[in-house]
Amino acid sequence: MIGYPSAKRIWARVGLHLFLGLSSFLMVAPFIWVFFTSFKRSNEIVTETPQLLPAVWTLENYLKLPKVAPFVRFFLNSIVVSGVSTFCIALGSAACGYVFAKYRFRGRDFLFFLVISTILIPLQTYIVPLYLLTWKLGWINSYQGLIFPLIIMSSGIFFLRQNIMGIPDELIDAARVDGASEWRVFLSIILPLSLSPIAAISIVNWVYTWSLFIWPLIVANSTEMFTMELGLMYFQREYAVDYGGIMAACMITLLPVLVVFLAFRTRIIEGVAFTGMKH
Amino acid sequence: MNVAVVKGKRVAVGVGSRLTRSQIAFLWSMVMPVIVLFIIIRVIPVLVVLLMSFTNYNMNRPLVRFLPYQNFLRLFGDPNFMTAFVNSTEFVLVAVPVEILLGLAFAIYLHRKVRFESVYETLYFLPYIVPMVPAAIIWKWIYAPGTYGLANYLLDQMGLPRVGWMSTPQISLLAVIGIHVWKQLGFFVIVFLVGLKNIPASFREAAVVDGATLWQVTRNVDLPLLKPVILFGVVMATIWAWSAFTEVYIISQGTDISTGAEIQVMVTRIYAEGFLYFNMGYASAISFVLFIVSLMLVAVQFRLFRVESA
Amino acid sequence: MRRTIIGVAVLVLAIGLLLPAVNRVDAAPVEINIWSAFPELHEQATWIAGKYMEKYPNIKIKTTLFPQRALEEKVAVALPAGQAADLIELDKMALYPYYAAGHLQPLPKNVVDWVKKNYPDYAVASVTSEKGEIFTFPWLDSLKAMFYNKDHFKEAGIAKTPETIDEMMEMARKLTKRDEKGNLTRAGLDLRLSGGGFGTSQKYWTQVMIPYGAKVLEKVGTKWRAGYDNEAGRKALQYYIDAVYKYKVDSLDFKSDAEAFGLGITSMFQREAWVVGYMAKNAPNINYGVFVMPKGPGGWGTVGNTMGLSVPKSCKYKKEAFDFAMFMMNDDMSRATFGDSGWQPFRKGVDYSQLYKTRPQLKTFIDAAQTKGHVVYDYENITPIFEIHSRMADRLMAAFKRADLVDNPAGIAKVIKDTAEETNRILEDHGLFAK
Repeated sequence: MIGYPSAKRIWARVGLHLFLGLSSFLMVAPFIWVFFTSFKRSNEIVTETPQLLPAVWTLENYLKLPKVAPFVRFFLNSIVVSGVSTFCIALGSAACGYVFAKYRFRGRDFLFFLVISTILIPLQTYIVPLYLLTWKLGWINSYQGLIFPLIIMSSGIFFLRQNIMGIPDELIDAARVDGASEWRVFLSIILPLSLSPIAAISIVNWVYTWSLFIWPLIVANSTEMFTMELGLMYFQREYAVDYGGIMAACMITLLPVLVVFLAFRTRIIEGVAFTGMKH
Repeated sequence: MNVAVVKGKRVAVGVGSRLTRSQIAFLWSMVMPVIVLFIIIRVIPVLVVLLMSFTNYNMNRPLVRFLPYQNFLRLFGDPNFMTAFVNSTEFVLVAVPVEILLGLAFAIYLHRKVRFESVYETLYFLPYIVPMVPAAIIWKWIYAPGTYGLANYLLDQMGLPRVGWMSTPQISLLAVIGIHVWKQLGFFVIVFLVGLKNIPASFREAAVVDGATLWQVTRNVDLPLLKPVILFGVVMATIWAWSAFTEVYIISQGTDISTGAEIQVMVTRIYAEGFLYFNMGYASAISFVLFIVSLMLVAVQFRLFRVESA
Repeated sequence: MRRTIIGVAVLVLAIGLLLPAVNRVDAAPVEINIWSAFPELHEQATWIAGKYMEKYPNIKIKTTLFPQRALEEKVAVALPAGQAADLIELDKMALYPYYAAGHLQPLPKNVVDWVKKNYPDYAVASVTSEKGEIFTFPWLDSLKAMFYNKDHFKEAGIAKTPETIDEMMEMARKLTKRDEKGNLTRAGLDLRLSGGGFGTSQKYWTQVMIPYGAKVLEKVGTKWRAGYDNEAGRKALQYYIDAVYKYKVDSLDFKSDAEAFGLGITSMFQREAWVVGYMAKNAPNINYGVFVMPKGPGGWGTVGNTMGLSVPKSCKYKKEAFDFAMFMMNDDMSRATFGDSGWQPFRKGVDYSQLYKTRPQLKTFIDAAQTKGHVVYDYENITPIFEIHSRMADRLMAAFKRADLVDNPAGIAKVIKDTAEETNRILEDHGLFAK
């Protein structure tokens, strides 16, 4: 185990696990509740004192999902939107991050701050002009309309820049001296060394686009263009919430995001080994 | 700047200030399209909104009058706006330190090759990927009054007095900030973990060989090298706390909460004025303030961290 | 590595090129889109649309659901751009500004005649604009009445339902229960003290303003003014403050609304007919009844706000849209809507006797609309009405938290005065204030 001196004291290790375990339990506790609630009958959900486990386990909340709304279609739509968006931002952020980190040209810092400044403004504030633009392009109620504001990610560029700044210049220069084109440098040096932050922003973007509500709401005019998050609306009755239904839909919504996370996790966590840098 | 001539092409060595043809090609093919998209999708709509803040544009009234300063003057006399401003500030002051410190702490612990590391990471990240709507519903139930809410139920069981989570303004704002932190923490743990993983083990090894203890290694090797990533974390945490919306919005609906107006924040204000009352000009003025303050906060943070670009 | 990237890029491009093809929606001969704001109504509209399409196969009706707040946002952006659906279901108060801005199609003569024939006069009046045009169907009526727990009443020895608001407070005090620690275990009268927005002011208006005779807005010529900065308005607020802090029949830290009533922890509360459906599904064992809002020294009545159905000017098939709307509101469909969704149709003259057999409580709601002397109020047709009520609700909710307002007429007077000033300012902003 390279990196840290081994902790000899057993209590330190136990203490560590206790701390991590307790805090992760707190993080997860609400989610446990979502899980169990999704299997409860509606009359069991609002009770005088909190009951964790269902007295009667039922699948009715899950089974009613396709009957309430075309959730399969919603699911596919979400996959398309999040998938295309994530692919675009991954590539775009890496390229721009590289340029902002390693190139020097006039106006570079200005452009970078232009990009950063757009992080500061939440979508709600400029959504009306954006909608009008989408309308003029004829992209209302289409995949193009759903996706196009999501193919750039300023925080992604920011994060990649910060990380690529840490890539030693010598590596890049060595390749250039060998006659590599910028494309070759980007594809064989920068990208492989940035897989970890790319994976990180991919997860973040996937989660963001997957649970984005306000944009699909405004752009989608008919049910077949809804995403999963819009589908959750079907359970919010005006006066009483269909808790069971929402929790079941939530579980279904979570699964792809969880899968994507687990798939990318090893990439993120394993990180990058800086071999070949020993002088 | 060092320029060498290799195989007949000029090559910038040592990353000088002039770009090669290949670099320029890369710039134009990969980066410029993104910049153009930024301008179309973000910059122009934002400029439109900022311009609107100087008008009395109302979605129901086609005629628009130019108001050079009235909207902004009204902001200062508007108790709702002042409350929102104060609340958003509190949001930042509480959420950012907690998220950064806890995020760093967890990342550092996890980085020590703990057994079950992957399990812990997944668990920490779970709140981040749970959709906000069911999460907020669960939290509303946790904070519900009487014994119906898990929090008060547990307090009761322990013999402690109940807390009016959703009926006392100061507490309910902290409760909402708690939801925000709970949801965002996983992001920071991952971000700092990535940063830590990217620190070459060789640096740490060298310090250990030099006789440093665990904490000295962390303080003198990891943290300084993590500065760029920490800056990123602080900036993002600040922006998200300053423009928090969904959790406040969802919590203030429904009949279990009696602190509606007291916990409002900047973006809920923009939403109310713009989409409920259709005062787009006034809402844009609030957006203007939101934007300017964000800009200032970020500029200050960049200065504080004094990160030099490569 | 590079191959993977190129492969993925090709895949994305392929998807991108295919998408336009996937997205094309085939045009039906006549297509009508309906946007609903509530899941129950959406289900209802879908079912009714099915029946209609059986009768008229050349017409295709698509129903889409957006939750209420979301639908209002969507309409705000889409309607002015001419991109909205053909039939929009929203509260009349939300629809009026669009009519005022010229985006809604007023009902044509034949439809107006049909509405006048089939709807009570005050329903028609509530959807008629100053210009004499009807801008929406007065489709459903959210009439408020009081629900009460019969077992609680029997246990406390109360033999009848209250006829005045003072009687109601007396009974509430007898019904309220606490535990040894002093925590409230049963609220005698569950008031809407919490929850966002104009719902709070709506319940407050019904609960205390109408009985004391305080008006939200009073008309002066063609303009308006706040009508509650007076003794009646102050008494109204005092009722709530006394309920929470003097007689302690309700508390801010107590569960509220249909959920609480279904759990059997509140004895009386104010709501609409949909609760009947909720109780049947979630709390079938509660023995409850409904009584009409009690009288007060200044008046007797309730609020029955109208859920409207409008056709935008941009609709391509106006005649078909109006025809379908009238079909949705015929006798059979009204019965189905009332029974299944719990929403109360505003229609008059529909025979619900079959329904009363299984849901007897619904009868009180229908009778309330026709009781002599019991006035059914609705929102005024002016553009800022929603803002006025929402802001009033914010201030009221802040006032409900102030225990210092008990036996403090000066304090209450100031709250009322400040709230009324804000109402007047909003009217002024829209050029509607009577000086």
